[in-house]
Amino acid sequence: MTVEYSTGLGKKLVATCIRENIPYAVQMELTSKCNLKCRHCYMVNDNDVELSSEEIKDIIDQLVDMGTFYLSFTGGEIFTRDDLFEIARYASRKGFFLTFMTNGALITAEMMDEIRTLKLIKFELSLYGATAKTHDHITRVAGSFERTVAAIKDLVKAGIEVTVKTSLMNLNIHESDDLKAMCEQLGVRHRISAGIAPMKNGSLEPQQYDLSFEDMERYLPRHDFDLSYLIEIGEKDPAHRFKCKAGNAACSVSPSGIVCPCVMMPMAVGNLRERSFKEIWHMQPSEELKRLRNLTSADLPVCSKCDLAQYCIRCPGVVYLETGDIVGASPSACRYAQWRGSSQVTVMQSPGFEPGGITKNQKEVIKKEDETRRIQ
Amino acid sequence: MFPLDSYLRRSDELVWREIGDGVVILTADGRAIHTLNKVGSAIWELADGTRRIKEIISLTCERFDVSLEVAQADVQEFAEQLVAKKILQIRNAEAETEAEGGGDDR
Repeated sequence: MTVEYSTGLGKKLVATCIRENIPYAVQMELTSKCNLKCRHCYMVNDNDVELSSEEIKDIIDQLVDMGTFYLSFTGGEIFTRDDLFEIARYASRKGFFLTFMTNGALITAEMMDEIRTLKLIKFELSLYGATAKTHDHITRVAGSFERTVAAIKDLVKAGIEVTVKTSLMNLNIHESDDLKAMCEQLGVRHRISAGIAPMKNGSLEPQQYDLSFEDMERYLPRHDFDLSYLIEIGEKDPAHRFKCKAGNAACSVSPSGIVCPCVMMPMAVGNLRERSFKEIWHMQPSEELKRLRNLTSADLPVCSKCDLAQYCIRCPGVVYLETGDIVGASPSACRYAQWRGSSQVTVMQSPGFEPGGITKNQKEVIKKEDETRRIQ
Repeated sequence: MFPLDSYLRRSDELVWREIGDGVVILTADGRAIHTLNKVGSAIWELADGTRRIKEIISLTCERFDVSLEVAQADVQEFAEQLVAKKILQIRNAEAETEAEGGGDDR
């Protein structure tokens, strides 16, 4: 009898989860209700149906058995649910890395004691501007900036790990540098993303706020986008260059209990009010889920032959929402790939490459521009 | 070597799951991943804060049909390694008697 013990198997674990279809990361949308009315929001009302606390706890139990390590609660706005802490306490006792995805505007200082009791909790808050004018214009709720910033400060003070997330759009790109500085000052990690997804019902309305080509050229080189993970996939496993973990090692649960490969891919693969997670995911996966799991680059007729492939971050969910065709090209991803291609911001390894996806030469140019501007 | 009357309990600062034939443990900082084989996994599951080391040794003997000496050496070595990494916690019998509800939810 020997007791074997080893460490450092992160990549192997992820590979196992993908190969064995173990959903190690799950996002649960607890509600579609929200206190804000963000202009670019992709969420649609899930027929006003919400799972009860007990139903959610039952799903949490199932996720333990399914092998889920990372559980995120998202919405809508999760703090609109009166039973949020009851659910979170239950999940915390069961042992997950918990993430609260929230706009923060309903968080109060009085909640900090409760939040601190949750084990292994971190927060991701959405902030869309460095000023109330910009943020509140996007959320369409006056005072939301002030409340979100107050929540960030309270959480940091309480010792909670906070990441501020910003979707860059034509409404806030002019404040992107200030936001970055503001987050540094607040002592929180800042994660920005470029590219606006359509709504879950396929409406392209939010994409009117996506960055123009000129915006990309003018602002994006200033920001570090860590695209290094694509280098590895592209070089080591080109057949899965465009594949993500959705459907294999990740999935989402809608407010009414519908399982989807991802929050961004509302392709219903089963209803947890009718079948167990194991049945939906392992025992009787739907045809759509099986197809998604088996997709390779060769199945993408346009993307697999595209000259811009090395510059492309193609999100299968966004493609699905934009065109309804999971193997098609994504118009928004094409635009960003064109920009990266023309700017020579490559996601492939090249001399001078830095994790931010910007060449050293470009950084030098930007630095000189900034210095010139300051002198003027 | 830990006293046989002490209790072994899994740390709260980690997440663990049964994957395949073994147990995979992720520490709170997300940096360390530990995997246990079948024997290690069995000991791990017994270390829920409600059992003394001597009980874990005895159950390991039965489950794997090995001598008391072999089980004792393996359980102690396993406990020492994981306590050193703060993945397992050791509590003496008196402290455990004072504390209420030593076990976790699984």
